[in-house]
Parts: sequence; C-alpha cells; structure tokens
Amino acid sequence: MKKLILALTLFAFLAGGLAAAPKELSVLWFYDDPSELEFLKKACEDYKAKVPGLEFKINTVPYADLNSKIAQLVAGGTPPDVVKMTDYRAEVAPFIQDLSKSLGKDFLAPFIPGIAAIMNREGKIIGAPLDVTANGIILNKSLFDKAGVRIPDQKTAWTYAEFLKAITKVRDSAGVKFPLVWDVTPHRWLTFLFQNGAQVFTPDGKGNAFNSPATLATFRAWGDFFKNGIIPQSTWGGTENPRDLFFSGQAVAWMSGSWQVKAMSGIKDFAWTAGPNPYVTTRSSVLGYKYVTGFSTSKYPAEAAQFIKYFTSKEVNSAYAKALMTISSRTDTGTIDYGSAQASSALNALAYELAISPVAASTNPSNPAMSLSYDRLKESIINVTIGKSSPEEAVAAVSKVIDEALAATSKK
Amino acid sequence: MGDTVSAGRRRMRQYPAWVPYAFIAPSVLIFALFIVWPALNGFYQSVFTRGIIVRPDIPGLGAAYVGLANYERVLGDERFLSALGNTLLFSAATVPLIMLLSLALALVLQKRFRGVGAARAVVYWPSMISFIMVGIAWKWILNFESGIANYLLGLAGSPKVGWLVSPSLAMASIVGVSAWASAGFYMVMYIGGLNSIPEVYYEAALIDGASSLERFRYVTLPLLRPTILLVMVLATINCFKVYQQSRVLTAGGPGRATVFLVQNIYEEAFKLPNSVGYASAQSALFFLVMLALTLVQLRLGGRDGEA
Repeated sequence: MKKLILALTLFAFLAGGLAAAPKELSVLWFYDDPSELEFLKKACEDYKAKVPGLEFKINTVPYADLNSKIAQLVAGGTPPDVVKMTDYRAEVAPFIQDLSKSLGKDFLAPFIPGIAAIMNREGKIIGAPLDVTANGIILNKSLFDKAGVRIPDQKTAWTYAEFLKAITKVRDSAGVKFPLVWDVTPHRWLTFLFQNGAQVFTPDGKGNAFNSPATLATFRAWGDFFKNGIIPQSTWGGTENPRDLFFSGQAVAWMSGSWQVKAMSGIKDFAWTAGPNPYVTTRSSVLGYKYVTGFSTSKYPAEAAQFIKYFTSKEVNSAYAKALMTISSRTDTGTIDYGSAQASSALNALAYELAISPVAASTNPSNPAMSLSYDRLKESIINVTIGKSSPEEAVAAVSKVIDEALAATSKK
Repeated sequence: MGDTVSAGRRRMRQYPAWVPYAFIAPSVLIFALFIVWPALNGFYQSVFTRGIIVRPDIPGLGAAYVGLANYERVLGDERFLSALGNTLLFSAATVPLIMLLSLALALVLQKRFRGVGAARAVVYWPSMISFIMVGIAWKWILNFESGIANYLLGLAGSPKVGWLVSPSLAMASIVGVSAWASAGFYMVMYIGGLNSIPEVYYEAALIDGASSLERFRYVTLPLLRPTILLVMVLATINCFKVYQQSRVLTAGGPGRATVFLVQNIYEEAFKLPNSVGYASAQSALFFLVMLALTLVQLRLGGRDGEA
C-alpha cells in the first residue's frame, strides 16, 4: 500500500511538473537599431502576461547571415518558432507554416494590399507583414540652404540631370567632399534601374526582362557617376560606408531608405530631408518589407501563429512603427505620431515616392528569383564601378544569372 | 635510483594495455566526430546535386547523384579558379613574410633585456585577438576617406592611397594585416626552438672565431629546422583557410580581387540554389590541395633533415 501511495505521489508530481512546464517559443530576429530588440523583449513579456505558460527564447542574427542561418536550422530539423524575414526564400518555403490555417483566410485583410498580396502565395499565407520600407534620397538640407540651392517640391521633383547639377553645385558651394553616396546593396541600385524605366522580370514574373536598352543605359549612367566623381569610388569599389559619409556631413545626398529615419532623427549637426527622388524616365522608389512568420516543422507552430497575430496586431504594430519610426504595414493604424515633425515629414515623403512607383518596383524585388540573383547582380554592378566589366558584359552576366534563378525557382 | 626506476616500471606494468587508449579516446572521438566524419561526408555530398535542405518527398528539394560532374565543373569554373589563384598568391606572399617576421622578432626578443616580457606581450597580443576584430580595426586605419592612415598622409601633404580600393593594394593590405596578426604566435614557437639549442654550440663556434652571421647560418638555422618546418606547415594551412580578415577588411573586393577559397565555397553553398554538392566538390579539392602541399613540405623538411 505504501508503495502504491508512493508511486501515485511520484506520478502526480511528475505529471504536474510536465503540465506546468512552460512552452518555450524560439524567436530568431535581426535588427539594426538596438531599441528594436528591447521592443521585442517587452512585447514578449506583455504576451506572456496575457498567455500564461509561455516562455520566449530570443536569438539574434546579423542580417547578412539571416538566410543561411534559417536554412541551416530548417535543414537541422530545429527551425525557430517565430522568425523575422525580408526575402521570400524558395528553399525554406515548403516548411513555412500556412498562417491561414490558424489565423483564418482573411488575416491579411487589414494590411496594405500590395504587401498582403506578396504574403499570399499559392493560397497560403506565408507571413504577417511587419513594416514597409521605401528607398529614397536623403538630402543634407543645411548644405542646400548654405549653397542657396532650392529643393523642388515632392510633386514637381527633378530629373537626374537637374539633380546632379544641383548636388554638384551644393558640393562646390558648401565645400563638402561628395555630391552623392549610395548604399552598397543591389536593392538600392534597383531604384536607379526602375527610374530608368527598366525592369528585371516580365509582368507575369516568369520571364527575364533585364536585358534591355534601358538596363544598359542604367549601367552606363551608373559607371559615369563614378568616372565623374559624383559617387566616391571608395564606397562601391572599396569598403567606405555611405551612411558614415552622410552622417559626418561629407555628402550632399544619400540614396538609402525609410528605415534610416530613426537613426537620422539623432543627427544634431545639420538639418536633413527626404526626397524628392530624381528620375530619368520614371519616378520610382523600391518597395521593401519585413515580415514575421513561423515554420510548420517547429516545436510550437500553433502558439507561434498566435504570437505572430499579436505582434502584428493594430496596437502592437502601431507601437512598433512609432518606436522604430517605420511605415506601418497596416491600413488601420491611422496617422502615426512619430513625435518628430522632421521624421513624420520624411516618412510621408518616402511613402509618397512608393505610392507613385511602377508596379515592378514592388513585384520585382519580391520575386523568389530576385533573392537568388542579388549577389551576382551586386558583383556585376561593382565590376562596372571599378571598370572591370563593360555595361554590356554586366547586363549579359546578370541576365544569365536571372535565367538560372528563374529556372531554379520555377521547379519549386 | 635504479630501484626507483624499476619500481616505476613495475607500477606501469600494472595498468592494462587499453588504459593509454582510454586516455586518448575522448580526443580521438571528438576529432572523428567533428573533423573526420564531416570531411568524409563532404566527399560523399560532392557527388550529388543538392541544396542545403534535402527532402526527397518535396519537389525541388531532392538530391541527384551526378558522379564526378561537380569536379569537372569546378575545374572549368572561373570563379573557383580565380579564388584559388588569389589564395595561392596570398599564401605565397604571407607565409614567407610571417616566417621571416616572426623569426626576426624571436631573435630580438629571445635575448634577455629590461622590458623583454612586455615587448613579447605586445608582439603576441594581436594573435590573441579574433581576425574579425583585427579586420575591423585595420579597416578604420585603411579606409580611403575616413581611415587614419590617409588622414596622416594628408597631414604630411601626401596624396591618399587606395589601400582597400586598388585590387593589388587590397591584396597587399590583407597580406600585411595577416602577417601582423599572426607573427606573435609563430614568434613564440621560434623562441621555444631557439631556447632548445644548447648554448655550448654557440660557445664552440665563438671559440672557432665564427661571426654572429656565421653562428646564425651554421648553428641556429640547422638546429631550428624542425621549428621552421612546423611554422611553415602551420602558416601555410592557416593562410589557405584565410576568410575572416578578408571578409571584414574588403568583403572580397574590390570586384573579386580578394575573394579566397573559403569565401567562395561558403557563398556557393549558402547563397546559390542547389549548390551544396558543388561547394562540397570545391571543399574536397581544397582539402586535396592542402594535403598535397603539406606532404610536399613534410617531405622536403624530412629530406633536408636527413641530409
């Protein structure tokens, strides 16, 4: 009898222990601004208070290693429950959970339609949009004022010829080093491609439209930027960080994007403003986005889906957009008060540029074949920058890579 | 004394024969698990076309046996060959530089003088810093616009130098930085080797009227040969594995002027679709090149030692 009581007590203890063991959701996150990590931690704590029995284990990864890290974790059978992503990665796509199963088919209804469409693939909801980013020109307004050069209004904007003339004049008058710096990423370079009226893919997304006279013109003009000393060689052809050059007041203009607004709001040495973007034939920004998703093969996919719903809800998403000065991915957040007139003005200007961009500026970067082509595209752009390849050779090389990427992704 | 030795031997004989193996078993197990098995698996993966994730039940995620096709492709791959060429060039420049620099430092710092300990520590410290940190620090020094080196050159009225912008200078910069970061480590080995040379040889040479150069040539160098060989083999292997410092310092640029084998293999495996098998073939060839080089070095060192 004693043994039976002891066994029952032990069983009850173990069973109780198991029942009380919290479920630990693993979260894989990348961030630029440390305050984003703080925001995530607080959101996890708030959620834990709402849903008892949950714990969070947050792992961070540098953006450059994000995709390879995810692939390794999925391959190893230990994908994170929740992950923040940017690109659509074809190799992990079969393992991403269909959020419509847990959150319903209309889960994406409150989000910006363009982003919602990207998240809706082959009848599956592959993620919850977190924010929207827009590429755009940031100007050192103090230098323009000092040089007495007027910045056109958003609607009128300026052609590249006008823009280059203006920033060169500001450079000369204000005595700074560089008229223009440009983020060293192919995504930012695509802005110039679209502004030249070129496209990467055919409208249906299945064909290669890269090899065109407009693309060739883009590469030629790009090479001229460096030959003529508009953009410093040491950025694309070296290791200099364009952001550092702009922040230190050495550059008149900077091609970057809306995610820099938070960091720029800390600049005290000069006034800055966003846009208007210059154009050749087409006014364009480039759509970027981040989203949160999970994996069907993770430990707690159902719990992860509920947390994703919470994290991208109207309340949390509004707070996220405000805290990190990003453009919200939702349509129901209303006007967000960023607490800074300069930041609000810049984000509105960048959002405007995005709104008037061609469809390709949204659909091309989100094509699965694009993420597979970025590295070789960047390599070819740099080769033109340093004079190692001609524009014709670059167009041919990238076009070949895009063909291969389209073939690889169409098999999926 | 004799009794003590005998007693010691008797005690040793009491242990079963497997005991020494048991002591080395953990190391062998770890080596087999984390070095031998992945290497063999790499050879196996190199005969497939496959991506990072293999799931035969999911379309597009299977693995297809291709025999030696990946190896044929590697031998005609310009990107691999240019990375191999860069690696050979880097190693050919860095290994002799490291060997000479660390030997020179060892010869100076082997001597006893006031502050020798601090001097040795200063030279050794860079080898304790990760190559990532070394790369970041030198990037601040060598950047074209914002680097300290060009700032100082500017103060002296000299034009800026494209340390990381010119392809040849970028390679030279990585060679220099790598030698700087590694010299202290090999210096310690040389000091160990120098200290093991009996002083009587130098005294005999001195009595015979040998100059300091002759003592170095006919006493130090021959007796230091095993250490020189060890340093050469280790430095060559480490130079072939160059990745972190180039990744941080130049990111492989400008263009692909400083892309080395490891970076090429990594990018092939993780950034391109269905390329893990192909990257494994590159790794296998890389392994064979390293093995051949090491065997040649050991053979040459052994032959010289016998002569």
